Amino acid sequence: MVNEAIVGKEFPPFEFLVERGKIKEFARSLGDRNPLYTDLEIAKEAGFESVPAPPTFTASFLHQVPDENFLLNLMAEMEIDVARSVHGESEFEYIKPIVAGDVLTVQMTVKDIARKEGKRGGVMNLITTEATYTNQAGEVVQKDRMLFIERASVT
Amino acid sequence: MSEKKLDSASISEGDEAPELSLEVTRTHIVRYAGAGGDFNPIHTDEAFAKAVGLPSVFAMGLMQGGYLARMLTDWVGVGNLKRYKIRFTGQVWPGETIICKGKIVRKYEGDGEKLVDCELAVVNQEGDSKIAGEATVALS
Repeated sequence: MVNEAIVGKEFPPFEFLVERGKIKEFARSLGDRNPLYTDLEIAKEAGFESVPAPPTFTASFLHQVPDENFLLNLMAEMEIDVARSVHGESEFEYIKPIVAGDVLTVQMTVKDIARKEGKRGGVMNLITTEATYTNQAGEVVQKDRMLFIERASVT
Repeated sequence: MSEKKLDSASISEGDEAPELSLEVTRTHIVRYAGAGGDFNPIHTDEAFAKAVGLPSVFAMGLMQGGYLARMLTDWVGVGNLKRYKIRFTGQVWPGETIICKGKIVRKYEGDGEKLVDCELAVVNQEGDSKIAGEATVALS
């Protein structure tokens, strides 16, 4: 059962280096041949300071976390039962383009915990986390929210 | 010169995006795992997935979320996206075809900018919902 007292908790921030090769790899993994992601000239002509990241690129934060069990540890700290939980929603708020060369600081917090009656009885927990991405100039460039659904335990 | 945008003069509520469709294979899933960093074996290890009672591996929600975003940026550009929200409504299994769709549902002005809200969806070849989404996009 999730611990409600954890709303507002800030997890240790970590650094996210936005590398050009990683942008290309991420775009290619989705079959995306948009030249903006690979051609610096085209990206600059389009008004970007360098090649931009695709809209869901920050999902690759898992490559950047300080240790491999970061997400599992986070869920353990929130007292979420991983076996009963699914990733229900993702929301990305774009404030300024993330481009290759950016050095982002990622701050994750627990934004909200809500309870809802489960379809088969019991109580479901809806946990929303928010990650704020701040660039090397101190500008907040993006905010990502993820909703985790912890289904009711079977009694 | 700035990136291409949807032109507010020529678009209307109800306009639909060109669809993107793809038959999902295990290779797509493994490739996205490598690029995205999600190595949960439930997505990449068939033996593991079967041992926990699943018919096979299945795609990470953010993989089809990435294809939906690709459909969207092909339509509206990359730098014009203000907000992108996706709700995962069904798992995607290898062998399924996913179809990514978008439609303009509202055209308005906000914070001194011309904007549209889009309704987004990923469905399979049977029309079963996999993602319900929405986006806010700036226009020229």
